[in-house]
Amino acid sequence: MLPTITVDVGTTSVKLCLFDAGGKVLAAARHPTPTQTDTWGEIYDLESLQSTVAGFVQGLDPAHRASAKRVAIAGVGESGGLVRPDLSLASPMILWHDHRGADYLASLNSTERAQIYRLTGLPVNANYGLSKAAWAIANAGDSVDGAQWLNIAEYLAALMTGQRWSEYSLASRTMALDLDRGTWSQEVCGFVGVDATIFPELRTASEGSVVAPAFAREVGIPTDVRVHVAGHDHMVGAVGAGLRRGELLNSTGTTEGLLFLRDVPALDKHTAVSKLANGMSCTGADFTLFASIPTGGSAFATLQNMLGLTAARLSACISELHEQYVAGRIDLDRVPLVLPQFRGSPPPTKRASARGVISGLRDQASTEDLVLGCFLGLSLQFRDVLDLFPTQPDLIKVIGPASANPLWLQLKADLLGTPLSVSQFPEVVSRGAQALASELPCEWDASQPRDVLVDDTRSARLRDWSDEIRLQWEYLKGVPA
Amino acid sequence: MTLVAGIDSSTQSCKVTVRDLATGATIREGRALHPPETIVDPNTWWDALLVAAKRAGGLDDVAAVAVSGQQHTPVFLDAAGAVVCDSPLWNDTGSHAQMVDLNNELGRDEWIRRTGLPLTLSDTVTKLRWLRDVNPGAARRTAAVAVVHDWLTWRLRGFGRGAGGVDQLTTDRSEASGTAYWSGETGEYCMDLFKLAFGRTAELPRILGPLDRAGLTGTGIAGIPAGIPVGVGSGDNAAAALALGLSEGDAVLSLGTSGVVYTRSPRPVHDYAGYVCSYADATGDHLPLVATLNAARNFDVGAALLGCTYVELSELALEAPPGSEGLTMLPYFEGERTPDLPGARGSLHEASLTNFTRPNFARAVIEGTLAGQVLMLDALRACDVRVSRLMLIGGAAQSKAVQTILTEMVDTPVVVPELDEYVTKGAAMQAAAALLGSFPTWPVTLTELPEAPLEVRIGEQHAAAKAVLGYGAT
Repeated sequence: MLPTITVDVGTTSVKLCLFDAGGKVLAAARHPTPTQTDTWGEIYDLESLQSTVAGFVQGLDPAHRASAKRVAIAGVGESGGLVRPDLSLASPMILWHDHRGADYLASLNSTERAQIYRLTGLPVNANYGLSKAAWAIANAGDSVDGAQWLNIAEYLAALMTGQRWSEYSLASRTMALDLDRGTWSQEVCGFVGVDATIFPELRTASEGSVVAPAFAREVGIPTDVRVHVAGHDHMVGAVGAGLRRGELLNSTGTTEGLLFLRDVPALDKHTAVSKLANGMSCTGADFTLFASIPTGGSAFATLQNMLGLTAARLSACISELHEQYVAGRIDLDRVPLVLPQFRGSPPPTKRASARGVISGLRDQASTEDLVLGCFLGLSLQFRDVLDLFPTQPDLIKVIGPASANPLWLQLKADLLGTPLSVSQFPEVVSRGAQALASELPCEWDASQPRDVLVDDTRSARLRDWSDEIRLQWEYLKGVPA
Repeated sequence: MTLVAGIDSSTQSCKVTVRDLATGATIREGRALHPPETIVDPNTWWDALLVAAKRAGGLDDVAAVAVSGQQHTPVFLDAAGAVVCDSPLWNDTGSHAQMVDLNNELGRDEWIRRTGLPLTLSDTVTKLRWLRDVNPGAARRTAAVAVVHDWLTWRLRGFGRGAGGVDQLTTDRSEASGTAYWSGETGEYCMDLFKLAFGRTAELPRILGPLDRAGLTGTGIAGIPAGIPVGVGSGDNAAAALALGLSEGDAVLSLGTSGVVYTRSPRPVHDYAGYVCSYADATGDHLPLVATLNAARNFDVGAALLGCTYVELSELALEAPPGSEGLTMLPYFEGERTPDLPGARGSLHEASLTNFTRPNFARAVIEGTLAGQVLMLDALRACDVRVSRLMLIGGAAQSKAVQTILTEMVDTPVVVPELDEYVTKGAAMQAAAALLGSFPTWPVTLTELPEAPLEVRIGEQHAAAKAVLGYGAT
């Protein structure tokens, strides 16, 4: 590997690392993702973000900084903004879950929607960049001339290099990329009145660009460092996890992602109806089939805030529940049923307006009941989404914060009846970014995976319980917002 | 100073207050807990009464006593006056199937026409059928059926030691009206309804008038002086209404273990919509009433889940805006009686990353609880009963959040009576009547709450959540 500074812009935090040539983490930092609201929704606070990234690099040991050969940037898909040739902004840099462009999709007819899925492999949704780009153009006025649509990771790379480009995996989350051709689709862009030239040239993750001298001087890195847009964080995670055909990557950040690698996009009717998202991998050579569950690891913070617990107390509660669960001391009939759609629903509905429901609350309901119910709900939700995929996994690789949540992992393994292989290395996405920038593969063993095994008795009990509540669960999922 | 004692044998505890006959002021009081179960040995209620009386300093210096109690709950007695079996409390939901059966057999509307009661699982008549179904042997041994206050009154009079006397049981109109075998029009028992439910007749307590005396206390009862008058007594709500001086146009919202809304009416009502129970009051009038199983205990759940005190729950709730940013609670934690949802459980709706906060959760619990009560107020109005002022009482009435949110949900003035044990006060007034031949005039201080803009969204959210779960509009 090449010594690499990695930047991973997540929904709730920005992860920064410095890896040495052996893949060892020499420095790491995590900061809250700086965002702010405008009249229409949520946008990045770019000044803070730039300051955070520059501050991390400047704060590195000078010798380590001088050894850097690569900067590799990963980030959430679907975010973005219009960036002029001088890198000034013609629009806000909009967060992935902001739906300000939804009106541009509302008038699409079923034929157009089917064609969009056929070409881009994506179900029409305002999360993707295209509708945001349409909104940005309409609201930018004359100042849009020469502006191009960049994802947040691509924008950071542009600031560091002075060049604007789009990486394939991120491009495939705009709903403007023709998957078969690997080019921007004027036909799809035309459906929402956007000229495809608004999107920049495409590069693979391995095609970096040399850092701009001014930026190199500012942060104190060598002027021959190359900057790479590593790609969409879940897909970069797949590289970091050494994901192979037939394996599922379960990445658990703020959201929860399920990702398979494929030779060709899955564009059949079932996949379309299930609203599974096709994409290109970071290498641009193969394809991904992906589903995102909007509420994943964020449930931890939601519970923590709502119940007024410190992170340590909630972790202790989870550990205690895990012990009780493993020992068979949990009465599942007393646990409230939690539909954890705190940020909209996952496929196959993908309704941004969907909301969470908690049912079955009794007068003796406790904090522990609610915590257990929430992670049971997350596990049920995961199983439902996994069932949408055309194939079931040979192996499930888990990365992200859930790796440290024994309850969530065990419930998931028992409910699925499938063991999990769980990374004990916390920054798999960043490692994937280093690998992409180094043009080398990652091995899963480097993440020191541990197995979460299935206990047949517990699994049978959990499945019986899920059968018992199935009607109620399905009913709650259908509740209109 | 002449003293009288009022006793409230409620669901959770027995309270005794000793009051100054001249002013109604509480001189001393005592309390003893009841078992938490919903099927209970009645002797524990008698024991609790004696403990509460002792903790009130004994009643040796008291000139008269009267008992009020939880409505509906039966005590099954054999011919010798001994308790036959444990009693199912009014809030025991095990009699749901029997309620369904009785409604099917006589017809829902016929129950309402005959008794003024939309038959619920709480009514005494459904408990009769329950006993017949689940414990036929006990049903066969049953010679008399009283409700709690009837039985405790009878025990105070020295009966209940296995020496007979079931023909000496007494009750009042309010208790008889909660059995579902009594007519508000005739003021008489409907023995055919009793027989329908139980398969045969049994001895029932004699129904006394509002100012009547049940008798004199018996001898040899620890802490109870022998030979003092025992007032007629009543059901708990009737006693509270008496103590509050309820007039036509007044409605009471009582937030205790259960939620109760009632008002005063010169005539019985018949609510074929099925919500209003036409009970009798303790003055000779009527007490149309709607009740929910879940009320103040909802706040226990809310406080427990948030890990806070009641005061903190109230403070948190007042930090959130009306409607709790969409977060909506249906607080049917242990099923519900109004609406009839015995199998329901609590549910929380419309939770999002934005609104799933501690303040919103706290407010949603209170809004959900009050939304159910406000709907009951609407149900009373639908019976052509005028409501122009709302009195807020019960354990949760002192909550600042409850007071504030309630004023946002009703378009009538809300007053909060001064803190008092109104059920024991009403019973004490009946004790006084047993001495004086008329009710004493004891003052009640009322504080009017500031008006607030009506926040219709709270009720709308509640209705929408119910509709989502198929719970109907009311």
